[in-house]
Amino acid sequence: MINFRQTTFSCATQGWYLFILILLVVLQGCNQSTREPLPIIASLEIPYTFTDQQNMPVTQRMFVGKIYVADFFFTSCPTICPIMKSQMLRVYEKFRDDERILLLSHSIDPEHDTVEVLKDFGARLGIKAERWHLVTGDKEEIYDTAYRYGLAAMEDKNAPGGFIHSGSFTLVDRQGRIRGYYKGTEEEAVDRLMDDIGRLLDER
Amino acid sequence: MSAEHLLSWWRMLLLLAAAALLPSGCSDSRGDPTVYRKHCTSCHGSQGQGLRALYPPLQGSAYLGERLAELPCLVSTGVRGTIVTGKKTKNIRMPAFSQLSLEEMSSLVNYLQLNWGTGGETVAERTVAQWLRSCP
Repeated sequence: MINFRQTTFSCATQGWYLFILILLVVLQGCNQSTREPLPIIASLEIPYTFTDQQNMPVTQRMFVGKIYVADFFFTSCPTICPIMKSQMLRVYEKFRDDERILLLSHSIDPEHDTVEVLKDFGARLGIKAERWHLVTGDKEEIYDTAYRYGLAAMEDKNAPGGFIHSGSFTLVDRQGRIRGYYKGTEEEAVDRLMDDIGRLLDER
Repeated sequence: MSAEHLLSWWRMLLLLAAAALLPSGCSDSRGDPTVYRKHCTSCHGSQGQGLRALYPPLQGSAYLGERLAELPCLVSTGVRGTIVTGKKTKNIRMPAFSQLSLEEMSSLVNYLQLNWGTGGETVAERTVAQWLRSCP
């Protein structure tokens, strides 16, 4: 036997649930559009000229008006770099057709990582130099650049591969300001990085 | 207790027993991943998938097939330059892992073989030692 009162009550309850659900979705949408802007961590000034895998000079001026992700690595690194590169590759693939976004990887072993070595590395990775610059240059200038990005990079004969460096990716905005650090070895952190790139794209 | 109750208890016991056995059973049948995870995953990937043309995938490698006897030397001395696998010549740079003990090397060879090789018989430590003695 059908309990009429109970049925009408549950219909009304369902209506309320639906209303609350719609409200939550709308609020969520509002929340996303009014998200806090990313913090401005520091302004970058890189006075050096490096050389990329296409033997082209790379200066900070090329990145003005672009959003970019920077990191430090070396091609013969046996530890975290391969994971960092596979994660950076995700960022590259997501934004490969977007001219507003660039990637910049500095070798901290410039004696080994010559233009030829970087060219071969880039080719094996299947990347375009215009989108993802792999750069080499004067060792001291590269180490100082890492310091300016707030990242660690140094030689250490006892470390695997002979170098110690940070596994972080640094996100830089169109005005050359650091807006975030992300663990380049963690998929979730790199997901957040890609989301934050979207937030920077929305900034005027 | 009814027969139906007894049957459901019995089923639950069976399920629990299966669940308890599953993880150890899996790790036994696919070898010990410890050495692989420590030294190889960062380049060759947790699934042995490699990374584009930079780090080769392990599946289908000749060193996990007809050239298995050369694998311990390859791992121990590393590679700088070209290696030939099947019809392909590849220019490779892989670091040497000479620090691995015989036990670790045997464990690694068997793990690779079971997961991405022909999955044949377990290679004994003394066989791996023999292969290592004949490194070029």
